[in-house]
Amino acid sequence: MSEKPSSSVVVWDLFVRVFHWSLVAGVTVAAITGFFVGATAIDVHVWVGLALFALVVARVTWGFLGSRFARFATFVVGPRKVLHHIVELQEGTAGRHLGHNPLGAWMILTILAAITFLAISGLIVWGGIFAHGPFTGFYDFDDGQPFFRLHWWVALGLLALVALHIGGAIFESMRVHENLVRAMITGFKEPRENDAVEGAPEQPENGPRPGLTVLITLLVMAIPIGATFQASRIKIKVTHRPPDTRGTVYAENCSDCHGVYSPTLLPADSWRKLMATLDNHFGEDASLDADTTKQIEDYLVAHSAGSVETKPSAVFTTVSAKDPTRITASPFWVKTHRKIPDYVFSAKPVYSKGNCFACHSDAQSGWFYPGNIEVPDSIAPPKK
Amino acid sequence: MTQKTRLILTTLAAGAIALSMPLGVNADPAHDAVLKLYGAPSSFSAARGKAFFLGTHKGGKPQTPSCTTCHTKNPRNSGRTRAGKVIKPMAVSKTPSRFTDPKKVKKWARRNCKTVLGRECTHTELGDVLTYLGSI
Ligand code: HEC
Ligand code: HEC
Repeated sequence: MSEKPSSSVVVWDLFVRVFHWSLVAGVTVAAITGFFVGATAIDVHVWVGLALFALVVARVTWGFLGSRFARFATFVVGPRKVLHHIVELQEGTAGRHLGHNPLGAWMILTILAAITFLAISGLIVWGGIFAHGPFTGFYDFDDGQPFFRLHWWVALGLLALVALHIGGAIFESMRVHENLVRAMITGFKEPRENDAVEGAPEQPENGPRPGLTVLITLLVMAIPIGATFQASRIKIKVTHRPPDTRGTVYAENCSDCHGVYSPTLLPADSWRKLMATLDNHFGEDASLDADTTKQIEDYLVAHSAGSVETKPSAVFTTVSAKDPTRITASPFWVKTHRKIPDYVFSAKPVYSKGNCFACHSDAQSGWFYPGNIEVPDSIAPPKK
Repeated sequence: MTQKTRLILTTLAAGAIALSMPLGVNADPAHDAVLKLYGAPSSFSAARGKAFFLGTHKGGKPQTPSCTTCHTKNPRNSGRTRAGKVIKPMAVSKTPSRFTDPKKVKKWARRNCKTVLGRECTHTELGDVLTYLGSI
């Protein structure tokens, strides 16, 4: 920053610079948690996503209320001018821009749009599949699925855009012989005589309004964040949530040796098989009198996997052909838990794969929200 | 009263209460009633019950050859089911509610005898074990 030429002017104001590098950090965290860490990072992922959305809202507002080079009016141009700029680049006659060039402008708009889409689709997935956030109760598991897929593809698309954006910045830096990355850190650029001008050339009459920008951002963000904290009060339709087993004959009779498995964790046929063989229940006699057995079987079958629109209810409809009464043998269970080493399941205080309750604090409810997963950290690998 | 005498008296009182506790347990009428389901309490032997409880049996499921598989060798300790859930100590001195509900005793005796021995237990075996678990 010390070597700035005396003729330099602040092109990227403090807001634009903080916005830019916060976005870089946020997208990095969101991409790592989303693509690599997965389920257990869901809460970090969602809150970083909301923060990114807040940044976008603030940037869009600043695009109307900010300083000269931050305003959309000074750099957003129509498709004809963009094409013209591309032709000029090919001919080698394109000028240098003090602010954003036409291609960069559209890259910015596309990235802002992509992040907005990711935030909204992400909240729909959070509400539909995981029953959290502002859309809780409005969407169910089935509704959430297509949004989950879209969210994934657009996220991949955003990473591609970022790669293009970095490529573009490097290309432009070399073409016009200036360090654009440093300019985004210091904010300074040196005006040149032949700078091309696209949008409104002058500082607009009404000066930057940082206070109003912050106010508008807070007001807009209050909607999703406020709704998130109210979501736990929403009464979710019975068909959209797992049954409450508390106080049932099932819970009373099947909770002595292990926790109460949500009936939604096995399909009806598996429950029938399991209830027909209680005298040899995984190497244990768990038999009950005929009346109670029938009563429990009816309850389990009525609320079996597939009976409600929750994620566990949907994914546990498929069981292992060899071991149809074991939740822990089902393809989904095996796939989601494949990264957990065997010694974790045999160690204190887990002891068994079937002890969902040791790692999923909401196991009894049947939700299995990923933010409620915590493998006991007392478990260490066995010494050789 | 000096502070010292008060301290001594309190300690003595606490000790007396502590000593009388395990003795008092066997006098629980509900516990006695359950024991009588299996015969005259005087016909049972805590020593035989101990041998049965700690012993290894044949005929049951291979995963569970003994009561101690789940209850551990010391009935005053908590045990653990094969599925990982804690079982409160079997010793009546540690879990006073043990063997007071006849329905519960019958249900678990039937199940666990089948699991460990592959058959129902005799009344003598059950009376012995209940006597043993009430005595420690
Ligand atoms: C006497 C003890 C006992 C009782 C009572 C009992 N279970 Fe189990 N259950 C077990 C054991 C032991 C396992 C196997 C745990 C393992 O292998 O890790 C098991 C496993 C299961 C599983 C499979 C879990 C997995 O690993 O996928 C289901 C489902 C289940 N029990 C349902 C029931 C139902 C329903 C009842 C009530 C009718 C019941 N249990 C009562 C001992 C019991
Ligand atoms: C040793 C701890 C442990 C035990 C025991 C355990 N889980 Fe999990 N489970 C995890 C972890 C960790 C994950 C997250 C895996 C990942 O990173 O995607 C997970 C993920 C899941 C998910 C997916 C959550 C989501 O929406 O992404 C479900 C459903 C689930 N487990 C069900 C069960 C059931 C049912 C049982 C018992 C039969 C069980 N788990 C036992 C640790 C455990």
